[in-house]
Amino acid sequence: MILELENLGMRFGGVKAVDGLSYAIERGKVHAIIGPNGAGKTTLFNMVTGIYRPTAGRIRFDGEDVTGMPPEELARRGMCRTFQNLQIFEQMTALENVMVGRHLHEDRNILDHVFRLPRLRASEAASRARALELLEVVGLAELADQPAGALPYGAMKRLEIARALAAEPKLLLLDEPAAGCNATETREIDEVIRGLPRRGVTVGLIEHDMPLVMNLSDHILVLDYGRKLAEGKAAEIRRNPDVIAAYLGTHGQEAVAHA
Amino acid sequence: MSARAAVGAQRPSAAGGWLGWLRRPRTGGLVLLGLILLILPFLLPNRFYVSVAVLVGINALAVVGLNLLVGYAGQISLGHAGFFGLGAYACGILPTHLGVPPLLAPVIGVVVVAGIAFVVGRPILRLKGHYLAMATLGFGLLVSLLIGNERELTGGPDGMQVERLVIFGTRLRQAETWYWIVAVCLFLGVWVALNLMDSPTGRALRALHDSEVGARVNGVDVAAYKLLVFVISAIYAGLAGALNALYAGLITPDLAGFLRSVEFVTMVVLGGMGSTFGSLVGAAILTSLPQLLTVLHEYEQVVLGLILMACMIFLPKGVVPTLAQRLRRERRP
Repeated sequence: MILELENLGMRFGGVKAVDGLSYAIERGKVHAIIGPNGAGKTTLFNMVTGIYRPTAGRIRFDGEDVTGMPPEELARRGMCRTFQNLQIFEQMTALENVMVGRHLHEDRNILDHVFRLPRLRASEAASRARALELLEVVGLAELADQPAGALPYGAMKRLEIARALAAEPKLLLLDEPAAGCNATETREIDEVIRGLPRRGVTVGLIEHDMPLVMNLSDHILVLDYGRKLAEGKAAEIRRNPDVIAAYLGTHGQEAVAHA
Repeated sequence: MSARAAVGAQRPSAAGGWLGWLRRPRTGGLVLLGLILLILPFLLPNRFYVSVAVLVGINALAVVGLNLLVGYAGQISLGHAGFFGLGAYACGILPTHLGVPPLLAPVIGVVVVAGIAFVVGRPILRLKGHYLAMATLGFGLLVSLLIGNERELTGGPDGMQVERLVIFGTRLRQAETWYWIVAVCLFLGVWVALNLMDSPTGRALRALHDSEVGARVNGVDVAAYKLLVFVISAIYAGLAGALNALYAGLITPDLAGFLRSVEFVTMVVLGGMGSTFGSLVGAAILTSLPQLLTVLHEYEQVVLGLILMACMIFLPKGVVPTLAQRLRRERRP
């Protein structure tokens, strides 16, 4: 298990956004987290990645207790994420965005930077080459030198995935990577995610696009009102009457039927 | 144009040779700056203009540093004249009261400024936006009040004399001599600033400017980088202050005053946030204009204000970035 959550809880004033959640993510798999809006999915990601400090429970990552650690420390340990509402560096080029993802793998000696020593040049060339490769993987190589803030929405989504991959995480958490993307873009994202376990990246995925979720996931966690409603393989979730009643509804039933 | 070609165009290619190398904005800009610094003193008609050029260079050094903090990292400081003043007064106080050799005073001064910036920066930089502006403003006021009140050490509002530097038996007091000293410091300061911004540090700073949380999840220690750039910008200001003191020979508390802090920020914005060469232009305009506008007597401030307003209306991103953008657009219609 790469990630283990134990009785995790997050309370905002009187509201329990996540309540007593225990769950584990298995190494090398794609885990999806689904549930209606406000079910606590993004809150869960924010706790796991250190943006929120949970008000109850523990988080273990890669065998160690990481509860309450800041995001940069978790990144150092091999966790990275993307954001539902995009956290792109808009004034930097697409290539530079992905190079920021290389941060932990670059020469970070400040004296090398100040005097531009030869060591830095090698590190910069390597960063640039790797970033270009990743832009190619997500289909953005053509736009490498464009300011990221001027990219179309779908391209920004994929740019964030490339940036996160540049960090070479063990666990990558994707918050609605396909939201707002057209069919072609969604298919491209699907392909990228599908290839991740082979690169040694475990994936946690929040997504509303049911066909995408059902196709991709090895395991699904269903949240409702901050609690675990169900978990299991895609086929099990698809048939689970609680899930159908609480979340998927009749419309959802059609969606999974077509998936 | 394919991405590979576009990326390749930024580096010296075999085909481009020396010309390609010069065309890179970084190298080309540095060469141009070097040429201007070399030729300028021979074009200036008299000593008055040389002394204005020295002041431009000193302010430019402080502004290049402040631009790293404000323009690149997006953190405001309304107290940088505090560091400028501390650097200046170190050169006054250390030799006069503590018997430190005058040549060593600026070095100690800059180290002290860096230390103070480190200590002050840690708590202050947790604040954002207006709150950070208020906190840095408070720091600047504190320094200028301290300098104004400690008469024993600083001479109070009347200011104090600074011992002249003596090198190889010559006392350095001529504007022409100081021109070359300031020019070398400024050139090195610009070189270091360009190096920094074109490095992982620079990308981390620009990244946290756009999205702190985005930077953090990618492993950027945002608090540490903010502190780093704050200390670096304070070192620039401290060094500029020290040069000012040694050049002028007389220092007064207004060196550390609020107005000077605002002037520094205005120079950054006027030249262009996040443009190192813009900082030079901003400093040059705002330092030399008041000197040249003195012919207008009482209308000086009015005209200066109008010029500033016009600049911000017609060149909203600052002089250098806006003009560079227009040039590029014309070249590639």
